[in-house]
Amino acid sequence: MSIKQILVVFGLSLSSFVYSQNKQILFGFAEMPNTLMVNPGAETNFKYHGGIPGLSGLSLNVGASGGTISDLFLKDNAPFNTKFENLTNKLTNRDFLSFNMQVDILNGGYRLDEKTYLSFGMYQEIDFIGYYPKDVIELLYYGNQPFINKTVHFSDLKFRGEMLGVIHAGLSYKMNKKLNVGGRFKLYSGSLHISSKNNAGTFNTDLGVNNVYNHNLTNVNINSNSSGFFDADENLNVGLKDAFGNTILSKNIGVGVDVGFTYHYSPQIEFTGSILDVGFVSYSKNNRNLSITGNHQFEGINLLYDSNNTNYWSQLNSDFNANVSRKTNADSYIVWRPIKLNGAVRYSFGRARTNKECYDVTYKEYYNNSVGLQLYAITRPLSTQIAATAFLEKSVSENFHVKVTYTMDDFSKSNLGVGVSTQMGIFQMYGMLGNVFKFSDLTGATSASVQFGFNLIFD
Amino acid sequence: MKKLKSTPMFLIFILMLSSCVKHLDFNQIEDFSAQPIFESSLVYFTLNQVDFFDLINSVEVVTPINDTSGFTILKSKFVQDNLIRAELNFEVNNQFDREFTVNITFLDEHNVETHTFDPIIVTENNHNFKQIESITISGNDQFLKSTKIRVSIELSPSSDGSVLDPTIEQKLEFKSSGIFYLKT
Repeated sequence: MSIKQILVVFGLSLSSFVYSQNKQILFGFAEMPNTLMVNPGAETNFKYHGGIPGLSGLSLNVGASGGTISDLFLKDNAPFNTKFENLTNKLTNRDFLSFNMQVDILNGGYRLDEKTYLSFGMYQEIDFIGYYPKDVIELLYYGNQPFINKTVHFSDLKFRGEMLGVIHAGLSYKMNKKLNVGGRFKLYSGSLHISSKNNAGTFNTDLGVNNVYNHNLTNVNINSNSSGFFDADENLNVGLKDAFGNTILSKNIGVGVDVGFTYHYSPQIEFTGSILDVGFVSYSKNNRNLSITGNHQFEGINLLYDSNNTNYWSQLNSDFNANVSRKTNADSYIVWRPIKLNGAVRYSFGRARTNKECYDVTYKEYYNNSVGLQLYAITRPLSTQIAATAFLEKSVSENFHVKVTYTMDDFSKSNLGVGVSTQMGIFQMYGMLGNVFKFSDLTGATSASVQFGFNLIFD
Repeated sequence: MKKLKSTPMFLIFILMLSSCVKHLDFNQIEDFSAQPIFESSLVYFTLNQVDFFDLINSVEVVTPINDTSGFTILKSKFVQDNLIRAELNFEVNNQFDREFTVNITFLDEHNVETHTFDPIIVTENNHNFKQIESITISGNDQFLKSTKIRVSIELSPSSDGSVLDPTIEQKLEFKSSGIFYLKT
């Protein structure tokens, strides 16, 4: 891969849509079937539900910390390189882009008894996060000339991406009037995975002693794992068809759980919380792992004039290979899923209405308004990412609910989201937009989100 | 079923690529060009008076002394396609009270000369000699065939007939580096 290709891939991915997994609008919203996917301990009040295949839950949330699409691609006649340089100048190695899609293929549920609701289904997920490897990108783009007497850190290289299918089944169980708990078991089928993290080492060019410059690779330790990208001959070989196919029962199997609860402290105050994707996938098919370790110093070729006909070049290569080891293997490895944490407190008020169904023997009464706070966290390679959301939820009628959220996270400090959920007969649908003020012009936004779904609900 | 599995994902991809991107021009990426500049040390050596003295016959070595190093970097497709030009920087510390001539010659695998720089003439006791040579590499097919570099050093005879004293340590230090201009 040439420098240009690497930089082009970087530029394209920087400008591609990005999805943070925070489903702040969906969490705890209107007791829809899909809320069970973000809190298996969410309360439900229906007999059974069936998602419309492929459409029961689509979600897309876009953003990139530190940059927007229009930074690079606005039709403004400015030289592209200048825009690239302006963008990369303002990015730091803590900026990242992340991309996640979850698509429900199947989603259904059935009430086993008054207290227990079973839900199950299958979804596909693509997840990627990459931090901006500032030093490495600048070294490739500018060369080492501006880096003389400066250090390039390989620890900036941090990314992980995976594509997998998830078959799941969960129970939401009412312990008593106040407490509802739930758990979900997940069977992961990994299709593609690639990651590189915990890298270390530096490259620097200093003024030398014996020659003009001294080039140093110091304590280099670069690792990467991949599965599904390279065939047995170590050639890059990844097809979309196989990738999608392998999201169902591939050789890369993993398990995980979600747990959650809903607790009514009082009729008007409710606490909810969930931990999602505590689990791992064991990758073993078409693996290719790479590790580069060592130290090397280079001052140039020392001509000896000793008439020994020394083969300086091969000596140089063998010195390098002796000092810097490059190993590949196809060993299996285990990858922990990014764990997501949700927590919320909700205060309901306004006009109360009665319970809607006989089996819904909840402590709660239904109010037409509520406000609250939510916290979201996800484990990521560099550090845990956190988002805080304040929300207002209003039931316009029994079958039409609106939720407005204000979220602060790594992407922005002012992300306003709106969600609506409506039910007409057995047909239930919801739609949500994050970062609504930016939605007319996504290209200038650092993040935005869309979620929607269609379900059939049988009370 | 197979179709069902992949359709929603494709739907989203299409959604992503088509929405709200009216005033953007993704073709701008075609104009993108990285022009990195890399600097690297090249060959170096340190020679003493004794290296220019034939101890057996007690005479100065007046014929040029040579050493050659191979290199394969110009065979790289990436270098052939993207290396535009190079500037070679030579630094010499000559502690001898004699003049030296250094000739740098590039050779192909059959030892045929592919490029030669102007002779580097370092006057006596010049401790800070510098010379820069530039070479255009892009499209320079002859130079791109180079696989060896030969550095030959010739000691000039003294003007007053005096002879080197090999017991006195006096050094000729030679350093070199290259600035490589790439365009991708």
